Amino acid sequence: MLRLWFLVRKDLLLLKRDPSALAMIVLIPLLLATLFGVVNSHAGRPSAMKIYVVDKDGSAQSATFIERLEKSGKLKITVAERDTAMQGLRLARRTAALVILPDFGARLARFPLAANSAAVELHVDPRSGQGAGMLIGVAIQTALEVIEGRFAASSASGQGAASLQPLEVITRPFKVQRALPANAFEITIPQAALWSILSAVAIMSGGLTAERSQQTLLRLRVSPTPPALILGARILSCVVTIMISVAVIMLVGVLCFGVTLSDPGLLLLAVICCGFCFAGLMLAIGSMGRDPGSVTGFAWGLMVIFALLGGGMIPQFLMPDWLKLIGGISPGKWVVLSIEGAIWRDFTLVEAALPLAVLIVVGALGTAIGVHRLRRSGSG
Amino acid sequence: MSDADSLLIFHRVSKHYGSVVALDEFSMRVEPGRILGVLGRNGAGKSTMMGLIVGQFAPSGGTLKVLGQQAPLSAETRRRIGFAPQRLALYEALTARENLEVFAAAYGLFGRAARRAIERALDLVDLSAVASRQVRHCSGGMRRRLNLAAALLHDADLILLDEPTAGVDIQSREKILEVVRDSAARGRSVIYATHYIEEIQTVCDEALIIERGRRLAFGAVGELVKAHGGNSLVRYRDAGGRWITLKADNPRAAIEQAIAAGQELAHLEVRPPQMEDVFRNLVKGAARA
Repeated sequence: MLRLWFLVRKDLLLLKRDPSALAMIVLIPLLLATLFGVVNSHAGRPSAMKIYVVDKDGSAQSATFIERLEKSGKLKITVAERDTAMQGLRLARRTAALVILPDFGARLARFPLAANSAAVELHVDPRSGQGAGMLIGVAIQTALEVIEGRFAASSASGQGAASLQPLEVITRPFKVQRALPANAFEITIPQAALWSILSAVAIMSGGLTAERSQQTLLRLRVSPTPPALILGARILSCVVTIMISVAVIMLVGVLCFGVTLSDPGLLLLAVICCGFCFAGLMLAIGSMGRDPGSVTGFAWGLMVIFALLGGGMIPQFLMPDWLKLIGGISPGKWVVLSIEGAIWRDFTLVEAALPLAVLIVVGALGTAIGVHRLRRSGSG
Repeated sequence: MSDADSLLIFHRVSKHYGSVVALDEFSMRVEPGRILGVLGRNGAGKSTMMGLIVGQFAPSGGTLKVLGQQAPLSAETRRRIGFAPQRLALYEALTARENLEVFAAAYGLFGRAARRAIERALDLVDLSAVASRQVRHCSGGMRRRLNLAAALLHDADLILLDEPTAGVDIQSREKILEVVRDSAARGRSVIYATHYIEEIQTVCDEALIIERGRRLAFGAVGELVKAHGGNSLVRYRDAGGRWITLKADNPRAAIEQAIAAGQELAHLEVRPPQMEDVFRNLVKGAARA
């Protein structure tokens, strides 16, 4: 274990003392995430809050209420059946669903003499923040407008005073099973994580080749330390580097950009699998040549292709179907998918199994190729 | 001396890289406690021979025994070998001490034992003062000495040095040669591959000359010079100021003959045969063959 520690420590120290490598692994991916996140946030921000309205009352008053809600300009309304609305809400197609309860029209018509206020149920994604408050305000305001309209048409009649509240809004927090991210940064932070991983791999592949050409690997290889331990340490350093860099990116995402981790445990598992996958690729690429410069160049070329196909620049869901299909060959796709699964896709372990399995298989293949090539060249 | 006591036994060892023959049915037996100089041109097979000894490669044919054990070597045997590769096998961004910590750990030295070994090795090569300096900020000579220190860390029985003085200043070269001599004086065996023929003559007890993967000569340095060095060179200036150079088996006789012939000898120089002559004669002969 002590040997392993010294070998891993050596790799981490070498990275730590290379400021350009640190910038490539952490700073530049974060910069990209921030830049694209800000651009996408402003480009795609809707001017009106999109909600479902379910009319269980079906009265003229409720129809007027819906009409006036839409005219407020603050809401974009889709009238739907309750089940459709709840399903859409669950899939994060809308932020909220407003259910107009039975007797809404009758109670509003009798206001302020009705025994009970007209009522609506508001099912809202808790993460919508001030959106819920705004929606309640708009609903009460609109109810008042409907009442004012009635007063304008005829004077109030009837007996008995009860509620002076025109509208009772019963809020029901809703656990959303998201199919879309809460904000643009939940897209760009996994992309940043991918870039960080790819940078780490390109740099560490060059580092491995440098160890071969400088014969430091040979020096370790001829020592009593088992070759498996030497290569294992190399893999472990790559995994640790990837874990640290992704952790930093996630931390910045959570603290600065409102990224939420729906399943931190799954995220940890995903990052470990990503680390193993790319550590294997690092071993395979690092074993390919003797010149660190050309190996690093080749690694960067390959990693850029992985990033492009895997959604590191343009999110996969914006790609045409054929490109999505081709993207499957890029481990980058599975990195992004597995990380998104733990952030906003709400993957269960079963749903995460496919991307994680792909990452493990690619990592194992890379390791096998790397070990074979290093052995053949007398370095492993 | 039995096979088990021999330092190295090469018996018809070959090493092929595809169609390229790097070592061709090479045989040699080396006894412990000596400094063996390995001489050869670039690509002659010196590094391949070193690689076979340390277990970097497996032989393509023949039998190789190192420290009494047939290849592949066990961890215990590898622990008895110290190796300074031809390249500066060091981590540039690590300090001298951090480099030695990594290699000490690779040889199973940790904690106090590692610290002691590192201080001793740094002291041996006069690098204690720059122990905390990153290798990239060290001079070429310092790097070469550190490369050597890493091979001496664990006090190995067999020390392999592949061109340990390549491209260093005179002071560093002297220090490296001094360390090699000291190691041998402490009973360690050293295999010393170099391009600098004069180093073989001044440091080594035995010499091996290889060319195109084949052994041209192997034996005690003095014997090789006697057998393959050719004649001494006698050089003098005559009365007319011309330089005259004679090759002579017996220099004294040649000088007496010149005097008897009425020559006035000014600036007389006699140069006995050197390892350089041995190398030149053998390699020329091999090329003709």
